[in-house]
Amino acid sequence: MPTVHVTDRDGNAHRLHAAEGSVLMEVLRDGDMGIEAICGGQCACATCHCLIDPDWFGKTGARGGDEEDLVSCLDAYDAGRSRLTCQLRVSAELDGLSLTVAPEE
Amino acid sequence: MSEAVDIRDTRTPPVLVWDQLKKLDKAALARWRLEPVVNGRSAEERNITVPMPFGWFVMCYSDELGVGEVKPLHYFERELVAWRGEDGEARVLDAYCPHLGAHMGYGGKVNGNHIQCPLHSWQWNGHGAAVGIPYSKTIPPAMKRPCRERAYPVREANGFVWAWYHPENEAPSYEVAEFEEVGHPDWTGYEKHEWIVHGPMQTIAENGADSAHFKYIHGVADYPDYDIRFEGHRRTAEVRVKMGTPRGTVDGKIAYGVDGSGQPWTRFTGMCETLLVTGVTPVARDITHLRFAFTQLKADRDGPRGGLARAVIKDICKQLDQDKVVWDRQKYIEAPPLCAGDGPINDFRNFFRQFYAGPEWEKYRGGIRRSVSR
Repeated sequence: MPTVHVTDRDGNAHRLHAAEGSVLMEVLRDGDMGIEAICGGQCACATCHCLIDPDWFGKTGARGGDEEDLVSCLDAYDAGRSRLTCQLRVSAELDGLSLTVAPEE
Repeated sequence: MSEAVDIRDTRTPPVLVWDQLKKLDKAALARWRLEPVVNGRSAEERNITVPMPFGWFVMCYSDELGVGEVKPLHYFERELVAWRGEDGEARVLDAYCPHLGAHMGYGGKVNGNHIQCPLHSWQWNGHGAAVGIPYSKTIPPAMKRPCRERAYPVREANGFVWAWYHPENEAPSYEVAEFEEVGHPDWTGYEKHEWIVHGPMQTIAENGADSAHFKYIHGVADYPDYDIRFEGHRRTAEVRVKMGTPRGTVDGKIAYGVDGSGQPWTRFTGMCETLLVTGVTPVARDITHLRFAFTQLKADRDGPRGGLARAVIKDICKQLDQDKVVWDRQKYIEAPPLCAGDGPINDFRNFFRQFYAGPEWEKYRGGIRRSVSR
Protein backbone atom coordinates (compact mmCIF):
# COMPACT_ATOMS: atom_id res chain seq x y z
CA MET A 1 0.00 0.00 0.00
CA PRO A 2 1.55 3.35 -0.97
CA THR A 3 2.68 5.66 1.79
CA VAL A 4 2.10 9.43 1.85
CA HIS A 5 4.22 11.75 4.00
CA VAL A 6 2.12 14.67 5.26
CA THR A 7 3.15 17.79 7.14
CA ASP A 8 0.09 19.29 8.87
CA ARG A 9 -0.57 22.97 9.54
CA ASP A 10 1.18 22.77 12.91
CA GLY A 11 4.32 21.41 11.29
CA ASN A 12 3.86 17.85 12.57
CA ALA A 13 4.90 14.99 10.27
CA HIS A 14 2.58 12.01 9.57
CA ARG A 15 2.81 8.83 7.55
CA LEU A 16 -0.46 7.70 5.98
CA HIS A 17 -1.12 4.49 4.14
CA ALA A 18 -3.37 4.93 1.15
CA ALA A 19 -5.00 2.29 -1.05
CA GLU A 20 -4.19 2.53 -4.73
CA GLY A 21 -7.01 4.21 -6.62
CA SER A 22 -8.29 6.15 -3.60
CA VAL A 23 -8.80 9.92 -3.82
CA LEU A 24 -5.96 11.67 -2.01
CA MET A 25 -8.33 14.27 -0.50
CA GLU A 26 -10.35 11.48 1.15
CA VAL A 27 -7.19 9.90 2.56
CA LEU A 28 -6.14 13.24 4.10
CA ARG A 29 -9.65 14.05 5.36
CA ASP A 30 -10.18 10.62 6.90
CA GLY A 31 -6.68 10.79 8.42
CA ASP A 32 -7.66 14.01 10.27
CA MET A 33 -5.06 16.12 8.50
CA GLY A 34 -7.25 19.25 8.83
CA ILE A 35 -8.64 19.10 5.30
CA GLU A 36 -12.14 20.64 5.18
CA ALA A 37 -13.11 19.33 1.72
CA ILE A 38 -16.38 21.27 1.93
CA CYS A 39 -17.60 20.45 -1.58
CA GLY A 40 -16.97 16.73 -1.26
CA GLY A 41 -14.63 16.47 -4.22
CA GLN A 42 -16.32 18.46 -7.03
CA CYS A 43 -13.37 20.81 -7.61
CA ALA A 44 -15.58 23.63 -6.33
CA CYS A 45 -14.28 24.89 -2.96
CA ALA A 46 -10.46 24.59 -2.95
CA THR A 47 -10.41 23.61 0.76
CA CYS A 48 -8.31 20.47 0.08
CA HIS A 49 -5.40 22.55 -1.17
CA CYS A 50 -1.94 21.09 -0.52
CA LEU A 51 1.58 22.08 -1.46
CA ILE A 52 3.41 19.15 -3.02
CA ASP A 53 7.15 18.85 -2.35
CA PRO A 54 9.00 20.08 -5.45
CA ASP A 55 10.62 16.66 -5.99
CA TRP A 56 7.19 15.08 -6.28
CA PHE A 57 5.18 17.82 -7.97
CA GLY A 58 5.97 16.70 -11.53
CA LYS A 59 4.78 13.17 -10.79
CA THR A 60 1.29 14.40 -9.84
CA GLY A 61 0.63 15.54 -13.40
CA ALA A 62 -0.73 18.87 -14.62
CA ARG A 63 -3.49 20.87 -12.94
CA GLY A 64 -6.77 20.82 -14.85
CA GLY A 65 -8.41 24.01 -16.10
CA ASP A 66 -10.95 24.28 -13.27
CA GLU A 67 -8.31 23.38 -10.69
CA GLU A 68 -5.98 26.06 -12.00
CA ASP A 69 -8.85 28.56 -11.98
CA LEU A 70 -9.57 27.81 -8.32
CA VAL A 71 -6.11 27.55 -6.79
CA SER A 72 -4.78 30.60 -8.60
CA CYS A 73 -7.27 32.70 -6.53
CA LEU A 74 -5.74 31.52 -3.25
CA ASP A 75 -3.22 33.47 -1.15
CA ALA A 76 -1.17 30.30 -0.63
CA TYR A 77 -1.02 29.54 -4.36
CA ASP A 78 2.37 28.31 -5.51
CA ALA A 79 2.50 27.62 -9.24
CA GLY A 80 5.21 24.98 -8.75
CA ARG A 81 3.57 23.17 -5.79
CA SER A 82 -0.21 23.76 -5.55
CA ARG A 83 -2.63 20.87 -6.09
CA LEU A 84 -6.23 20.24 -5.09
CA THR A 85 -6.03 16.77 -3.60
CA CYS A 86 -9.59 15.92 -4.69
CA GLN A 87 -8.14 15.82 -8.20
CA LEU A 88 -5.41 13.28 -7.36
CA ARG A 89 -5.68 9.51 -7.18
CA VAL A 90 -3.19 7.47 -5.21
CA SER A 91 -1.07 5.19 -7.40
CA ALA A 92 2.07 3.06 -7.10
CA GLU A 93 4.01 5.89 -8.79
CA LEU A 94 3.06 8.19 -5.93
CA ASP A 95 4.33 5.81 -3.23
CA GLY A 96 6.43 8.04 -0.95
CA LEU A 97 4.68 11.28 -2.02
CA SER A 98 5.50 14.15 0.28
CA LEU A 99 3.23 17.17 0.79
CA THR A 100 2.26 19.96 3.18
CA VAL A 101 -1.33 20.94 3.96
CA ALA A 102 -1.73 24.53 2.70
CA PRO A 103 -2.56 27.26 5.24
CA GLU A 104 -6.21 28.07 5.86
CA GLU A 105 -7.35 30.98 3.69
CA MET B 1 -80.73 27.89 -32.66
CA SER B 2 -79.44 31.41 -32.71
CA GLU B 3 -76.81 30.61 -35.38
CA ALA B 4 -79.53 30.35 -37.97
CA VAL B 5 -80.63 33.97 -37.52
CA ASP B 6 -79.67 36.22 -40.41
CA ILE B 7 -77.12 38.47 -38.75
CA ARG B 8 -76.98 42.10 -39.76
CA ASP B 9 -75.33 43.87 -36.85
CA THR B 10 -71.86 42.43 -36.26
CA ARG B 11 -71.48 44.23 -32.94
CA THR B 12 -74.01 42.09 -31.13
CA PRO B 13 -73.55 38.55 -32.38
CA PRO B 14 -76.24 36.37 -30.84
CA VAL B 15 -73.87 33.46 -30.46
CA LEU B 16 -74.09 30.98 -27.66
CA VAL B 17 -70.70 31.33 -25.99
CA TRP B 18 -71.09 35.04 -25.48
CA ASP B 19 -74.23 34.48 -23.42
CA GLN B 20 -72.07 32.99 -20.69
CA LEU B 21 -70.07 36.21 -20.37
CA LYS B 22 -72.44 39.04 -21.09
CA LYS B 23 -73.70 39.13 -17.51
CA LEU B 24 -70.20 39.93 -16.21
CA ASP B 25 -69.34 43.56 -15.47
CA LYS B 26 -65.99 44.99 -16.54
CA ALA B 27 -64.11 43.97 -13.37
CA ALA B 28 -65.63 40.47 -13.29
CA LEU B 29 -64.76 39.96 -16.95
CA ALA B 30 -61.14 41.01 -16.34
CA ARG B 31 -61.00 38.46 -13.50
CA TRP B 32 -62.59 35.73 -15.61
CA ARG B 33 -59.92 36.23 -18.25
CA LEU B 34 -57.20 35.14 -15.81
CA GLU B 35 -58.98 32.71 -13.51
CA PRO B 36 -58.59 28.90 -13.48
CA VAL B 37 -61.24 27.02 -15.43
CA VAL B 38 -64.07 25.57 -13.36
CA ASN B 39 -64.25 21.85 -14.17
CA GLY B 40 -61.19 22.20 -16.42
CA ARG B 41 -59.60 18.97 -17.67
CA SER B 42 -55.96 17.94 -17.84
CA ALA B 43 -53.72 18.00 -20.88
CA GLU B 44 -53.88 14.19 -21.00
CA GLU B 45 -57.67 14.08 -20.88
CA ARG B 46 -57.81 16.63 -23.68
CA ASN B 47 -55.18 14.85 -25.77
CA ILE B 48 -52.87 17.89 -25.79
CA THR B 49 -49.85 16.04 -27.13
CA VAL B 50 -48.08 18.89 -28.89
CA PRO B 51 -45.04 20.29 -27.06
CA MET B 52 -44.32 23.92 -26.31
CA PRO B 53 -42.81 25.60 -29.37
CA PHE B 54 -39.47 27.39 -29.38
CA GLY B 55 -39.23 31.07 -30.20
CA TRP B 56 -39.23 34.60 -28.82
CA PHE B 57 -41.86 35.07 -26.14
CA VAL B 58 -43.04 38.05 -24.10
CA MET B 59 -41.93 37.98 -20.48
CA CYS B 60 -43.51 41.28 -19.44
CA TYR B 61 -44.05 44.82 -20.63
CA SER B 62 -40.89 46.94 -20.54
CA ASP B 63 -42.57 49.37 -18.14
CA GLU B 64 -43.26 46.53 -15.69
CA LEU B 65 -39.53 46.08 -15.08
CA GLY B 66 -37.83 49.21 -13.80
CA VAL B 67 -34.09 49.63 -13.27
CA GLY B 68 -33.15 47.59 -10.20
CA GLU B 69 -36.43 45.67 -10.25
CA VAL B 70 -36.74 41.88 -9.86
CA LYS B 71 -39.76 39.94 -11.13
CA PRO B 72 -40.64 36.27 -10.64
CA LEU B 73 -42.13 34.64 -13.74
CA HIS B 74 -43.55 31.25 -14.58
CA TYR B 75 -43.33 30.26 -18.24
CA PHE B 76 -42.22 27.17 -20.20
CA GLU B 77 -43.13 25.00 -17.19
CA ARG B 78 -40.20 26.64 -15.42
CA GLU B 79 -39.67 29.17 -12.66
CA LEU B 80 -37.86 32.20 -14.00
CA VAL B 81 -36.52 35.48 -12.66
CA ALA B 82 -36.28 38.69 -14.68
CA TRP B 83 -34.37 41.78 -13.58
CA ARG B 84 -33.16 45.06 -15.02
CA GLY B 85 -29.58 46.05 -14.22
CA GLU B 86 -28.27 49.55 -13.59
CA ASP B 87 -27.24 49.62 -17.25
CA GLY B 88 -30.95 49.46 -18.18
CA GLU B 89 -30.73 45.98 -19.70
CA ALA B 90 -33.31 43.33 -18.90
CA ARG B 91 -32.13 39.79 -18.14
CA VAL B 92 -33.89 36.46 -17.59
CA LEU B 93 -32.53 33.42 -15.74
CA ASP B 94 -33.81 30.20 -14.25
CA ALA B 95 -35.13 31.37 -10.87
CA TYR B 96 -33.50 28.71 -8.70
CA CYS B 97 -30.00 29.55 -7.46
CA PRO B 98 -27.76 26.57 -8.37
CA HIS B 99 -25.96 26.90 -5.02
CA LEU B 100 -28.72 25.73 -2.65
CA GLY B 101 -31.87 26.24 -4.65
CA ALA B 102 -33.33 29.52 -3.33
CA HIS B 103 -35.89 31.18 -5.63
CA MET B 104 -34.25 34.45 -6.65
CA GLY B 105 -37.54 35.96 -7.82
CA TYR B 106 -38.64 36.29 -4.20
CA GLY B 107 -36.18 38.34 -2.17
CA GLY B 108 -33.46 38.48 -4.81
CA LYS B 109 -31.90 41.91 -5.36
CA VAL B 110 -30.24 43.68 -8.22
CA ASN B 111 -26.60 44.40 -7.48
CA GLY B 112 -25.11 46.47 -10.30
CA ASN B 113 -26.14 44.51 -13.35
CA HIS B 114 -26.32 41.20 -11.52
CA ILE B 115 -28.96 39.39 -9.49
CA GLN B 116 -28.09 38.57 -5.92
CA CYS B 117 -29.58 35.49 -4.29
CA PRO B 118 -31.45 36.16 -1.02
CA LEU B 119 -30.01 33.10 0.73
CA HIS B 120 -26.20 33.66 0.58
CA SER B 121 -25.86 36.73 -1.68
CA TRP B 122 -24.21 34.83 -4.51
CA GLN B 123 -24.29 37.10 -7.55
CA TRP B 124 -25.16 35.93 -11.06
CA ASN B 125 -24.88 37.70 -14.37
CA GLY B 126 -27.38 37.50 -17.22
CA HIS B 127 -25.47 34.62 -18.81
CA GLY B 128 -26.02 32.45 -15.74
CA ALA B 129 -22.44 32.70 -14.48
CA ALA B 130 -21.58 33.30 -10.82
CA VAL B 131 -19.58 36.51 -10.54
CA GLY B 132 -19.29 36.99 -6.79
CA ILE B 133 -19.65 35.27 -3.43
CA PRO B 134 -19.21 37.76 -0.59
CA TYR B 135 -17.77 35.29 1.94
CA SER B 136 -15.50 33.22 -0.33
CA LYS B 137 -12.24 33.97 -2.05
CA THR B 138 -13.04 31.40 -4.69
CA ILE B 139 -16.05 30.65 -6.86
CA PRO B 140 -16.69 27.05 -7.91
CA PRO B 141 -15.32 27.00 -11.47
CA ALA B 142 -18.32 25.15 -12.89
CA MET B 143 -20.50 28.03 -11.64
CA LYS B 144 -18.34 30.67 -13.32
CA ARG B 145 -19.23 29.52 -16.79
CA PRO B 146 -22.14 30.96 -18.82
CA CYS B 147 -24.96 28.45 -18.75
CA ARG B 148 -27.28 28.08 -21.75
CA GLU B 149 -29.64 25.79 -19.85
CA ARG B 150 -30.31 28.51 -17.28
CA ALA B 151 -29.86 31.80 -19.16
CA TYR B 152 -32.27 33.09 -21.79
CA PRO B 153 -31.33 35.37 -24.68
CA VAL B 154 -33.30 38.59 -24.14
CA ARG B 155 -34.46 41.34 -26.50
CA GLU B 156 -36.45 44.45 -25.83
CA ALA B 157 -38.73 45.64 -28.64
CA ASN B 158 -42.15 47.23 -29.07
CA GLY B 159 -42.45 47.93 -25.34
CA PHE B 160 -41.98 44.29 -24.36
CA VAL B 161 -39.21 42.22 -22.82
CA TRP B 162 -38.76 39.04 -24.92
CA ALA B 163 -36.93 35.86 -24.03
CA TRP B 164 -35.85 33.11 -26.40
CA TYR B 165 -37.01 29.67 -25.30
CA HIS B 166 -35.68 26.51 -26.92
CA PRO B 167 -36.05 23.19 -25.08
CA GLU B 168 -32.68 22.03 -26.46
CA ASN B 169 -31.04 25.41 -25.80
CA GLU B 170 -30.35 26.24 -29.43
CA ALA B 171 -29.51 29.85 -30.25
CA PRO B 172 -32.17 32.16 -31.78
CA SER B 173 -32.91 31.34 -35.41
CA TYR B 174 -34.69 34.64 -36.18
CA GLU B 175 -35.07 38.08 -34.61
CA VAL B 176 -37.96 39.96 -32.98
CA ALA B 177 -39.76 42.23 -35.47
CA GLU B 178 -40.11 45.91 -34.55
CA PHE B 179 -43.01 48.23 -35.39
CA GLU B 180 -42.54 51.91 -36.03
CA GLU B 181 -46.02 52.80 -34.74
CA VAL B 182 -45.08 51.78 -31.19
CA GLY B 183 -43.80 54.85 -29.38
CA HIS B 184 -44.39 57.08 -32.44
CA PRO B 185 -45.71 60.55 -31.41
CA ASP B 186 -48.71 60.21 -33.78
CA TRP B 187 -49.81 56.96 -32.11
CA THR B 188 -51.32 56.38 -28.67
CA GLY B 189 -49.61 54.56 -25.81
CA TYR B 190 -50.67 50.94 -25.37
CA GLU B 191 -54.11 49.95 -24.21
CA LYS B 192 -53.39 46.57 -22.58
CA HIS B 193 -55.54 43.46 -22.14
CA GLU B 194 -54.56 39.96 -21.07
CA TRP B 195 -55.87 36.42 -20.84
CA ILE B 196 -54.73 33.07 -19.51
CA VAL B 197 -55.96 30.55 -22.05
CA HIS B 198 -56.13 26.92 -20.99
CA GLY B 199 -55.07 25.65 -24.35
CA PRO B 200 -51.85 25.09 -26.30
CA MET B 201 -50.11 27.75 -28.39
CA GLN B 202 -50.89 25.89 -31.60
CA THR B 203 -54.64 25.94 -31.09
CA ILE B 204 -54.66 29.66 -30.39
CA ALA B 205 -52.51 30.41 -33.41
CA GLU B 206 -54.76 28.21 -35.56
CA ASN B 207 -57.58 30.69 -35.04
CA GLY B 208 -56.46 32.88 -37.94
CA ALA B 209 -56.43 29.95 -40.35
CA ASP B 210 -59.83 28.72 -39.17
CA SER B 211 -61.86 30.97 -41.44
CA ALA B 212 -65.17 29.21 -40.94
CA HIS B 213 -65.39 29.83 -37.20
CA PHE B 214 -65.67 33.61 -37.50
CA LYS B 215 -69.32 33.42 -38.42
CA TYR B 216 -70.34 30.93 -35.77
CA ILE B 217 -68.31 31.99 -32.77
CA HIS B 218 -67.97 35.68 -33.46
CA GLY B 219 -71.09 36.27 -35.48
CA VAL B 220 -69.39 38.20 -38.27
CA ALA B 221 -71.80 38.82 -41.13
CA ASP B 222 -70.12 36.60 -43.69
CA TYR B 223 -67.25 34.25 -44.29
CA PRO B 224 -64.32 36.61 -44.79
CA ASP B 225 -62.14 36.46 -47.90
CA TYR B 226 -58.49 36.00 -47.18
CA ASP B 227 -55.01 35.59 -48.61
CA ILE B 228 -52.67 33.67 -46.35
CA ARG B 229 -48.96 33.33 -47.06
CA PHE B 230 -46.55 31.01 -45.35
CA GLU B 231 -42.90 31.88 -45.75
CA GLY B 232 -40.12 30.50 -43.54
CA HIS B 233 -40.74 31.53 -39.94
CA ARG B 234 -43.32 34.15 -40.97
CA ARG B 235 -47.01 33.77 -41.69
CA THR B 236 -48.96 36.72 -43.07
CA ALA B 237 -52.54 37.18 -44.11
CA GLU B 238 -54.93 39.74 -45.41
CA VAL B 239 -58.55 39.31 -44.45
CA ARG B 240 -61.37 41.40 -45.87
CA VAL B 241 -64.28 41.66 -43.47
CA LYS B 242 -67.47 43.58 -43.07
CA MET B 243 -67.32 45.37 -39.74
CA GLY B 244 -70.37 46.56 -37.92
CA THR B 245 -70.35 50.20 -36.87
CA PRO B 246 -72.96 52.59 -35.54
CA ARG B 247 -73.21 53.87 -39.12
CA GLY B 248 -73.74 50.48 -40.66
CA THR B 249 -71.45 47.89 -42.14
CA VAL B 250 -68.06 49.07 -43.36
CA ASP B 251 -65.57 47.18 -45.51
CA GLY B 252 -62.55 46.67 -43.33
CA LYS B 253 -59.17 45.16 -43.95
CA ILE B 254 -57.24 43.16 -41.41
CA ALA B 255 -53.60 42.43 -42.17
CA TYR B 256 -51.95 40.12 -39.75
CA GLY B 257 -48.62 38.44 -39.41
CA VAL B 258 -46.87 36.13 -37.03
CA ASP B 259 -43.15 35.72 -36.60
CA GLY B 260 -42.27 32.34 -35.21
CA SER B 261 -44.79 31.06 -32.73
CA GLY B 262 -44.98 33.92 -30.24
CA GLN B 263 -45.09 37.27 -32.03
CA PRO B 264 -48.32 38.01 -33.86
CA TRP B 265 -49.38 41.48 -34.94
CA THR B 266 -52.52 42.78 -36.62
CA ARG B 267 -53.18 45.99 -38.51
CA PHE B 268 -56.81 47.08 -38.86
CA THR B 269 -57.52 49.60 -41.57
CA GLY B 270 -60.69 50.95 -43.07
CA MET B 271 -62.39 52.82 -40.28
CA CYS B 272 -59.85 53.38 -37.53
CA GLU B 273 -56.14 52.77 -37.89
CA THR B 274 -55.17 50.28 -35.21
CA LEU B 275 -52.08 48.15 -34.57
CA LEU B 276 -52.49 45.21 -32.24
CA VAL B 277 -49.20 43.82 -30.97
CA THR B 278 -49.75 40.43 -29.38
CA GLY B 279 -47.57 38.51 -26.99
CA VAL B 280 -48.32 34.79 -26.77
CA THR B 281 -46.25 32.93 -24.20
CA PRO B 282 -46.48 29.26 -23.19
CA VAL B 283 -46.98 28.79 -19.45
CA ALA B 284 -47.22 25.03 -19.93
CA ARG B 285 -48.02 22.80 -22.89
CA ASP B 286 -51.74 23.34 -22.20
CA ILE B 287 -51.70 26.88 -20.77
CA THR B 288 -50.91 30.08 -22.68
CA HIS B 289 -50.55 33.70 -21.51
CA LEU B 290 -51.94 36.05 -24.11
CA ARG B 291 -51.37 39.82 -24.11
CA PHE B 292 -53.06 42.29 -26.45
CA ALA B 293 -51.42 45.72 -26.73
CA PHE B 294 -53.29 48.20 -28.90
CA THR B 295 -51.98 51.43 -30.33
CA GLN B 296 -54.15 53.68 -32.46
CA LEU B 297 -53.58 56.73 -34.59
CA LYS B 298 -54.16 59.63 -32.18
CA ALA B 299 -56.09 61.48 -34.89
CA ASP B 300 -58.62 58.63 -34.81
CA ARG B 301 -58.62 57.89 -31.11
CA ASP B 302 -58.79 61.49 -29.89
CA GLY B 303 -60.87 62.85 -32.76
CA PRO B 304 -64.54 62.60 -33.67
CA ARG B 305 -64.10 58.87 -34.36
CA GLY B 306 -62.85 58.22 -30.82
CA GLY B 307 -65.93 56.23 -29.89
CA LEU B 308 -65.44 54.02 -32.92
CA ALA B 309 -61.75 53.59 -32.07
CA ARG B 310 -62.67 52.31 -28.61
CA ALA B 311 -65.39 50.10 -30.06
CA VAL B 312 -62.87 48.43 -32.38
CA ILE B 313 -60.71 47.41 -29.41
CA LYS B 314 -63.70 46.30 -27.41
CA ASP B 315 -64.92 44.12 -30.25
CA ILE B 316 -61.52 42.47 -30.78
CA CYS B 317 -61.26 41.68 -27.06
CA LYS B 318 -64.79 40.33 -27.10
CA GLN B 319 -63.84 37.98 -29.93
CA LEU B 320 -60.93 36.74 -27.87
CA ASP B 321 -63.27 36.17 -24.91
CA GLN B 322 -65.52 34.14 -27.18
CA ASP B 323 -62.59 32.06 -28.45
CA LYS B 324 -61.35 31.51 -24.90
CA VAL B 325 -64.63 29.91 -23.86
CA VAL B 326 -63.95 27.22 -26.47
CA TRP B 327 -60.14 26.98 -26.11
CA ASP B 328 -60.32 26.47 -22.34
CA ARG B 329 -62.12 23.15 -22.80
CA GLN B 330 -61.10 22.12 -26.30
CA LYS B 331 -59.71 18.70 -27.06
CA TYR B 332 -56.84 18.46 -29.52
CA ILE B 333 -57.89 16.61 -32.68
CA GLU B 334 -54.68 15.35 -34.23
CA ALA B 335 -56.08 14.57 -37.70
CA PRO B 336 -59.27 16.63 -38.00
CA PRO B 337 -61.92 15.61 -40.56
CA LEU B 338 -61.86 18.94 -42.39
CA CYS B 339 -64.63 19.69 -44.85
CA ALA B 340 -64.98 21.95 -47.87
CA GLY B 341 -65.23 25.50 -46.55
CA ASP B 342 -62.83 24.97 -43.68
CA GLY B 343 -59.73 27.15 -43.75
CA PRO B 344 -56.16 26.06 -44.50
CA ILE B 345 -55.80 24.40 -41.11
CA ASN B 346 -53.47 21.63 -42.28
CA ASP B 347 -51.19 24.15 -44.03
CA PHE B 348 -51.13 26.11 -40.83
CA ARG B 349 -50.22 23.07 -38.75
CA ASN B 350 -47.44 22.06 -41.14
CA PHE B 351 -46.11 25.60 -40.82
CA PHE B 352 -46.38 25.66 -37.04
CA ARG B 353 -44.68 22.29 -36.53
CA GLN B 354 -41.35 23.82 -37.61
CA PHE B 355 -41.23 25.40 -34.13
CA TYR B 356 -41.22 22.10 -32.27
CA ALA B 357 -37.77 20.90 -31.22
CA GLY B 358 -36.66 17.32 -31.68
CA PRO B 359 -35.97 14.89 -34.50
CA GLU B 360 -39.61 13.82 -35.02
CA TRP B 361 -40.40 17.40 -36.17
CA GLU B 362 -37.27 17.82 -38.29
CA LYS B 363 -39.10 17.35 -41.59
CA TYR B 364 -41.08 20.55 -40.91
CA ARG B 365 -37.96 22.65 -40.26
CA GLY B 366 -37.68 25.75 -42.42
CA GLY B 367 -41.44 26.00 -42.78
CA ILE B 368 -43.52 25.84 -45.91
CA ARG B 369 -43.80 28.28 -48.79
CA ARG B 370 -47.38 28.64 -49.81
CA SER B 371 -50.14 31.13 -50.56
CA VAL B 372 -53.80 30.31 -50.02
CA SER B 373 -56.66 32.57 -51.09
CA ARG B 374 -60.39 32.53 -50.93
